[in-house]
Amino acid sequence: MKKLAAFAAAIAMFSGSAFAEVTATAVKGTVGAMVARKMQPVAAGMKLPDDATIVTGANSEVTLAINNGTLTLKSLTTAKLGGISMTATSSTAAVALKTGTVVSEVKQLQGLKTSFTVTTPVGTSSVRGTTHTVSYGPERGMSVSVASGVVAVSSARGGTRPVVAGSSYVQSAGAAPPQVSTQSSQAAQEAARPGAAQAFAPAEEAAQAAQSDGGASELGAEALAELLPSSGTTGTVNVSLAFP
Amino acid sequence: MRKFLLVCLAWCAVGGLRAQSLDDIVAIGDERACSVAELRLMAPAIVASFPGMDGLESRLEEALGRYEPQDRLTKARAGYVVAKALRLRTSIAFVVLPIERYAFRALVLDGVFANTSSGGDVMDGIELLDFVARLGAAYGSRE
Repeated sequence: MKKLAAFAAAIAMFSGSAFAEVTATAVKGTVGAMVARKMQPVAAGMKLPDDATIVTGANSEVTLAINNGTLTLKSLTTAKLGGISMTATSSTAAVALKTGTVVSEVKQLQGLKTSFTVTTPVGTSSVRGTTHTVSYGPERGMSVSVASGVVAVSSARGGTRPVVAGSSYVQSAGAAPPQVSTQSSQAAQEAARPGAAQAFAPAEEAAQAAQSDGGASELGAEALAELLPSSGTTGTVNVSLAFP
Repeated sequence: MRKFLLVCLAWCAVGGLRAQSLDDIVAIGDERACSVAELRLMAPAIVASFPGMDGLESRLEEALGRYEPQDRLTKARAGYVVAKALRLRTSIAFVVLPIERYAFRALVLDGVFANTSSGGDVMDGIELLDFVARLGAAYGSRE
């Protein structure tokens, strides 16, 4: 009987989404989950379906434990969960943010390939082990601020922009497609690596630098992917493109 | 039909504003063009964003009473309602002449509305939700 149970556990572990579950760990105020077109109140400790739409009221917030990370939905946020799965080697989660603010904290575990994306109507933020905040509203567009690690922000109109720890990035709803460049507040990094200094400069500075040196500072996505792992941050870039 | 039901719900509520409803929030989020009735449905959320602010609920009711429920909800109208309810003092122009135009400008200055927007824009549901969320962020510290 014990052997049978161990075998069943092993099968479950490697069969895909055995560990994929969403649990509300902290709830403040009025929070609901839309499941099968019916709104259900969310309480702490409650397990939620991996395709639920979570809605928070004013002055309310909820923290969800998803795979190897947590997701906090701030006041007046509507977000839909999807694509949540976890195996022994990979962890995947996707959040579609309709409006409001989410704070995600994803732990980078050894040997676990993690894909965690937050998608808004104007772009996608993709992380592998980081803490970052994404908010979206039609007035202000998509705002991404990164506390640790590296996040790749893909515009819905094309183009990917890495955002490193200590930096933030705003993709306005009506803005032109962004240049493939990055920004950073870590002056030490820029001083240490001239290539990174240009790569992490704001878009206007990158454009000026490109003009001054014949476009040598323009970086493709592959070049950025090579550059970022050596940038001294703990995360890695997961370049993902969102098609409109 | 849904619009009609929303209007009825908003105006038939007896005994002041209802508690904030997540179903209302979801329904409003799907609206393409909001009316003043939707702003009234969001009034409990506005009140909840400012716990401890005395008389906010009655001032909101009073400001909303200036409009018909089926009136289109423009940014200037939404701005006027909340500027009156919150007793905004950040704009001298609005203090001297409390009209929609100056209410909207005050909210632009305070970062609630984008400076690229117009007071005549009719708000959709997502904009209304974002507007209420930004109110809390912009003026919440006044409590």
